Amino acid sequence: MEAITRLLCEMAEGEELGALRAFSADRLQTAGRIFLDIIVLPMVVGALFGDSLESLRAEIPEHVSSRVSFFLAACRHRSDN
Amino acid sequence: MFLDRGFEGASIEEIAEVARAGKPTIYARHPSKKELFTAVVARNFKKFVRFEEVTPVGATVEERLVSVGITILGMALQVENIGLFRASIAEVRRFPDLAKEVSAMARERGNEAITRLLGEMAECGELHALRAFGPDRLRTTARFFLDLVVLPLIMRALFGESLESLCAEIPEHVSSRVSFFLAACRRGTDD
Repeated sequence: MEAITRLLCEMAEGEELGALRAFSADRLQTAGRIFLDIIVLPMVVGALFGDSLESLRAEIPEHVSSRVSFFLAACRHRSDN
Repeated sequence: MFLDRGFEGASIEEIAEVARAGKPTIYARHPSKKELFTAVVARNFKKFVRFEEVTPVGATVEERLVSVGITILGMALQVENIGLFRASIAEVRRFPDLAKEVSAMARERGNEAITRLLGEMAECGELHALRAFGPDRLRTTARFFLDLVVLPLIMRALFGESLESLCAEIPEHVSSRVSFFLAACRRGTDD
């Protein structure tokens, strides 16, 4: 949680993410938690319940890509409205 | 019995005694202890997470989705459900198929129910126009909803957080996650 908040904070120094409300200092921790919950947690739960690590690893790129897209869509929408 | 002693610790003999049934009766219905355990989990899950009874309530889309999230989490965060999930995870090395079956059953039932509910909600009103609620995307959108709203609190319960305090968090948690979920759906993804 600490690591992802720090990473998001560093990325928020850039122009695009810096302009999003979700990446403001007071919201960064919430954004970090949601990022972990939607991207990392489902895979971890799959692994805990015995899904093959090999097949989970093979799914990572597509899984992460669609989840990051969803995550950023929410962050951008909230800044626009 | 499974909750108290785990999968390995519960013998068919003891289960038969507690159930007041003979071993042959139990074996006739469930050829192995693994199948009996999976059936117990499925029955328990069905008993406590009654998706067919989940009815969206409220005037706005937000309110209706919040009511769905609150109802599902309230039903899922039961001592028996969490205990059986823990028991299946604990046996994952010895019985890898067991946990997989349990998790697939929970995921499929959840995904099916949410896909149906979102589909019904998308038949009229604002959601109808959103790509995330198109028939080709509904299942993925339902999975996002479950992963964002339901899964995080279940995971915390699995790791031993008090069910009482987690239940107290449900309304605020669901409300903020539904808001995030709808923001993503309204904006739409780039793919």
